[in-house]
Amino acid sequence: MTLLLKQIFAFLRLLNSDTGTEQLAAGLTMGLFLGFSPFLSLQTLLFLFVLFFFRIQIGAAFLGAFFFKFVAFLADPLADILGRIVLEAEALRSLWVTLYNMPIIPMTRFNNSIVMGSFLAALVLCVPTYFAFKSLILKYRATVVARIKETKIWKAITATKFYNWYISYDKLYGAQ
Amino acid sequence: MKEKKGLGKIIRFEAIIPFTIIILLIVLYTKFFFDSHMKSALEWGMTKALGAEVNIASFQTKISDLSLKIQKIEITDAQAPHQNSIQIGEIRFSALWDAILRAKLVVNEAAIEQIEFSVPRKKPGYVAPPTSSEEEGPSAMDKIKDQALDATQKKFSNNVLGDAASWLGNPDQDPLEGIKGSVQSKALIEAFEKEIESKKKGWEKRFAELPKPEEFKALGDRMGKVKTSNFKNPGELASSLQELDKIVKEADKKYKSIDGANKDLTSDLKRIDSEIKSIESQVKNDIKDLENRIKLPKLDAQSLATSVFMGYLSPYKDQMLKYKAMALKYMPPNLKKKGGNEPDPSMQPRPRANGVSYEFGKPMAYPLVWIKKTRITSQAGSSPYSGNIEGEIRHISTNQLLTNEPIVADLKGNFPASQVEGFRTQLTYDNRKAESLVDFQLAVASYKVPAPKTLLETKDINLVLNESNARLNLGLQLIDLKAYTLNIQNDLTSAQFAVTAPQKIVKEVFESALSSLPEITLTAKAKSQLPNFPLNIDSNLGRELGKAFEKELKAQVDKAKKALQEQIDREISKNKAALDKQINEFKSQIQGRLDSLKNQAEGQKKQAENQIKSSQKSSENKAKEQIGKEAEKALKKLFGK
Repeated sequence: MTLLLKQIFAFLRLLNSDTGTEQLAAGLTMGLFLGFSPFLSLQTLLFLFVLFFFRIQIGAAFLGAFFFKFVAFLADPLADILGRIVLEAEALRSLWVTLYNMPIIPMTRFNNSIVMGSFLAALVLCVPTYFAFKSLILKYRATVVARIKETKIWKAITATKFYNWYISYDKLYGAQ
Repeated sequence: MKEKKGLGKIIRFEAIIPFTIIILLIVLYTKFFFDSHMKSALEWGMTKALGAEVNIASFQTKISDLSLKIQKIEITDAQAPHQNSIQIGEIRFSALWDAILRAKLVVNEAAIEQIEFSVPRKKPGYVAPPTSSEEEGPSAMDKIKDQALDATQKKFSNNVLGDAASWLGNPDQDPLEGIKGSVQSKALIEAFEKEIESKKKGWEKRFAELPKPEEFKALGDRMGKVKTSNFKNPGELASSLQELDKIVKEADKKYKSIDGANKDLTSDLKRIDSEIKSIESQVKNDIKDLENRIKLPKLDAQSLATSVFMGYLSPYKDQMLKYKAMALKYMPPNLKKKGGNEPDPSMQPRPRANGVSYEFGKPMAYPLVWIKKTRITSQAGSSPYSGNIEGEIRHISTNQLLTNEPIVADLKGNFPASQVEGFRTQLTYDNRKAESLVDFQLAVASYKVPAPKTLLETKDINLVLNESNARLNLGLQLIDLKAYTLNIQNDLTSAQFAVTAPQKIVKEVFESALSSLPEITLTAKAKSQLPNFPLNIDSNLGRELGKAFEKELKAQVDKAKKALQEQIDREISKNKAALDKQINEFKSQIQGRLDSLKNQAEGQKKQAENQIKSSQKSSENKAKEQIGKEAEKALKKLFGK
């Protein structure tokens, strides 16, 4: 839990800084995949492994997963329809039969209509989502963060000893 | 923030240690806690699912060979929580890694050992309280089923045996009760009496109009005064003849009037005779009609057998419907190819709460679950609740099209402590064709029937099976989980019954039928589509009861028929006697008077006609004599003598 909170704080800090835009957008896009995947499946483990070992913003990914889980839940009926269409397609039958009988692959539960529909939706949405998040982060920094930094309250906070102490601590021990 | 360089910009190397720790924790958890947590989870899940406490002594898994061993599974009997409904000594199997990597469960051989029934528990097991829906009452479907069963039971219990018992139980009952008022012949006689009375009056009136005897006497007197000889002149003769002719005509007129009345009377009498015959015929019809309307109970052996054994077989019927519902819920799908009749092995959709999971099989591939062989063994003697069981279940799978094998179960054995001998069951479930086939055979050479068992409980009769051994042969074929053929042969050997009945004769009939049979055979057959269950029951007890009832009822029916005849005779005899008297009086009076008048008329007429003839002859003779005299006188004058 501490690790998770630390990652979320890091996400907020990065969001309000001028760096790591791609990292944040990638993390949120990974959250899209996590949110659209079933909790107990091979691909979820794979995404977690990627998150863990690659420098993708984990806090952004978890926040994204949390948000997209609700979206996926609401979109389940549509995902079910899409999954059925794809899984029942005669042209793809031999592909599914081969995949289903291969080792490891069936653990992704691709043969479930909702899993398949959600994965396809996530795959189609990942590129636009990445760019949309990137654009939104930049806009947020240009408008909201810049305005807050100009306010008297913020200037008063930055003038306090506590803030200076926090900045020093963050430089020394702050996690990425 | 520290700036990363090289691969460190992409890969989070510092995550290796936490990741290793996580893996280590997982391994340690699996080693030390997984089995106990799985055991608790399984106990909790099964208790929830079955509604009765389930205890597992040991749950051991081994990752290296994917083996599982569960020991001593105790399932509490929800009806008797102080004992287990079933207790299994051990279940063990090991799955194939090859299949697990494909997210399938394939077991080459599983073993189930030491099965015991009704084993007492150390402490009573928890039984889940009824759910809110159960508290509110059974579902609509259950209600309909229960109502149908109740209706069938009541129908047979109350109608067949109830009618027979009430007939036998009330020997003094009036069979004509309630139907006496509708005897038609009685009404016919009454109407006929009125008609006779009216006819009598009509004839009295007509008699008044008919010529009186005095009139015939007057005619005779008039005839006597007419001169029939010694006519002085022809004029006198002519006058006599004229008078006589007048009398003849008058007598003829009167005769005709009387003759007409006579003919009418004959016709009336014929009609009366015909109506009497019709009344007699109506009396016969009335007797026949009343016999038919007497509510005689239907006493065929099958109805009696159904009455006695419907309650005995109903629980089995309920069980069958319950298992059918379970089968429908859990059996693998068997969808037909689009536009074809054959099932398609390459795609089997399995509906779930969340979406649909498809099985994309191919011949010789693993199905989702496949337990190739389950060996079941149990030895009697280890406890009084165990039995000798030996058998196996082959090819339990979720997709028979892939394994190309049906599920086949074959078990045999005996439970000496429970007095179950020669038990054998064979089950085949073949889902490889478009229409699935379930073939189930069960045979038990001898078992003790749970007693006491109430077979009949009506106001007329109470029949309880106190003790019995039985043998059973059951065969069931179920096609497409709908059309079925069921044959049950259940024979009760050395059965002891307790019969109680308010009527002594009913009790005697039952006791004599039961004592005459060394063993009771029960055959139940059904061939229909689920959920219809038209059970056709036959039993030698039904036949024997039928004979005994028939004998007693025949005596009752004969008595009733006799009473009926007497009743009708009594009803109409009074009227019939009065009618006969009336008719006889009518005949003798009217006919006698009419005959007398007719004779008189005929006599007078004849007399008048004779007198005319006599007058004519006398006149002729006199004329001849006159002519002779006149001729003699003329000859003398001519010849001068």
